[in-house]
Parts: sequence; structure tokens; C-alpha cells
Amino acid sequence: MIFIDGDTLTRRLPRFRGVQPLVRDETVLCWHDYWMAGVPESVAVAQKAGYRCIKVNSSCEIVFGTRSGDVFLRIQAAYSNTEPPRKRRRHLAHLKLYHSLLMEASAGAAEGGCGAPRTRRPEKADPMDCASLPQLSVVVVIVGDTVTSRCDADDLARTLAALHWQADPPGWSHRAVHSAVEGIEQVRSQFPEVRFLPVEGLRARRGEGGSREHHDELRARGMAATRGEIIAFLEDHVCPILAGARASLGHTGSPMPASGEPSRTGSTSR
Amino acid sequence: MNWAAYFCDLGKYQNPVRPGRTPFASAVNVSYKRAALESIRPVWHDSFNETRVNGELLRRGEALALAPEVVVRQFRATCDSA
Repeated sequence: MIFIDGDTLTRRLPRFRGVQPLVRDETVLCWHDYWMAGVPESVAVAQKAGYRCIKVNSSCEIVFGTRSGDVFLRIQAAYSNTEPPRKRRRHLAHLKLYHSLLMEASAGAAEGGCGAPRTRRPEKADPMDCASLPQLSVVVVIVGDTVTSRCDADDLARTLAALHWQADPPGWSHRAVHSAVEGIEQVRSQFPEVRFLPVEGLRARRGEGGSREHHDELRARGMAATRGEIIAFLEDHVCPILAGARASLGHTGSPMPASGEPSRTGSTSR
Repeated sequence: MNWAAYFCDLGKYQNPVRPGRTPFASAVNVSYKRAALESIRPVWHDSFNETRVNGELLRRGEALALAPEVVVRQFRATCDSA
């Protein structure tokens, strides 16, 4: 099996054609994030080249492709929630939006805030209230409605419990962002230090499952509500192990310099 | 299926992760400096997509970095509930 990662519009990584010298008839190619512009095009190229492809309706929107009919039938039998990969028009809209946003980014300017660097603050934050600003804001996005139209708050409760027991509350600001989640009020009562942001009117939410684009909208809403100088993002299917994270975010004992890197990503284990 | 989903989506973040600069970062477990995100606010204002955000940061000459000590453990029971 060969995982193809990077057949998106960023085009920073090897693409479908790059792996062809490694492929045998029985080889299974695996794309993920089928919804991402660039991936359907790559799958289409594979289909024209004789690959039989099938999309699994998982959170990753995985597409498997193989030249072997037998292997294809085995994949098809292994998963009940499959469908033929179909290119959707919304990818084209996605592409136009992307370029439009890039144009705006080049013309935009940061403003406001306190301290250096000067940055724009959320509209409701007091720009003079520097002392109350948290050092770190943690945005937890509820993603349990990827496949089904609704989800509950059980996963979120576990994530927040991990944060609650391991984090040092002063200077930390937690925000949980959700749309339609059953049991959210009970979780809210369990974690009064967490600010919950109910979100409505998501443009990408189809309400029928099989999509996770609206999670990007949730993440954007969460980010807009943060005030910390460092913004951390988590999803509600993971528990953070914060002993190392605290040192890293504080640049204590880190192999990286204290400044110069705008972003850090951690490791994910099962 | 769970392992397929894991390796496909998150396998490249499985420890041992080599610390330092990287062209990718997962929104499942990531942090940014506010100044970096504010400088590209139009890119994420409506939809915070990790590929677009990280791509724009890199295009502007910023750096992404992996840190193996910043660990999360995934507990989703099935891929369908992810």
C-alpha cells in the first residue's frame, strides 16, 4: 500500500505519477482528504490510467485505488460505507475562494493590540487590558459529526478532562467550539473554566454527515475568539499529554530557538 | 480501518518525530504564535484549513516545526466516530 499525501494545490510533495515506478498490479494506492482541491483530480488521473477506485466515507475521506480487480473486490467487501469517488463542484468554488483569500491577504494589514508584536485583537477584547490576556489559548474543535449528522459530547469531556487535570490554569484559556452536539450542557457544567462557543450558520455544514469542511469554520470561529499570544488547536478525539507541551510552548529546554518559528505541531499517538 | 485512517491522516506525526522544521502540521495538535496567524487573517477568517494556513505561512517565509514532546493520544474508538 502506498499513501499519497500532498496531491493538493500546495504541490509541495510527490504526486500520483511520482509513485508509479513503485507500483505493481496488486498495489493499493491510498489518498486521503478527498474533499481537498487537487486530490479528486489526482484520483481522476489514476482512474484514466486503469485504477479502480473506491471512496470510504471516513473522517479522512480515504480513496483506495488498485489495478487489480481481485484486490478491488476485497477492499469493497471490507468496508460497508463506500461509494465511487465523484468530483464535486464545490471543489471549484473552494479553489476560487482560496485564490481570492490569498489576494486579500496580500492587501491586509494587522493593527491594534498591545505589546510587541502588535496584532489585531478580537473585537470584544479590551485592547488596554494587557494584564488579563492569557499566554495561551486552547481551541478544542468538536469533530465527532464527521460521518454522522450529529454527535455527543463524550469525546469532548475526555479531552477537557485531560486539559483540566494536567494544565496549570492561570494563563490558560480554553474554548470549546461546537455546533450540534448532544450532552454539551452537561459537559459545560463540568468545566466552568472553559468557554463554550455555540456556533450556528456554518456554510459548509450539510447536516447529513460525510463532511468535515465545517470543522475548519469552527476552528476559524474559535480562533477569532482567542486572546492568547499562543494559540493551540486540538480536536476532541485526542487527549493532550501536557508535561512536554508546557516546556515546549515556553521554549524551555527546546531544541528550537525562542523566537522565529510561528508554529509548532506535536506528535499524535494511538 | 482505524489503523489505515491513523497512518493516512496522522502517521507522519507518530513518534519518534524528528524535531525541527517541517512543511506540514496537523490541526489535530498544533500551536501558532498569534502574530503569525494575524498576519494571514484573511486566509483563515472564514475557514481555518491547515493546508491553506500552513501553505501561506511557508509561502511568506515563515517556519513550521515539529516537537516530539508535544504529545496527544488519540482515543476515537472507530474511524466512523472520528
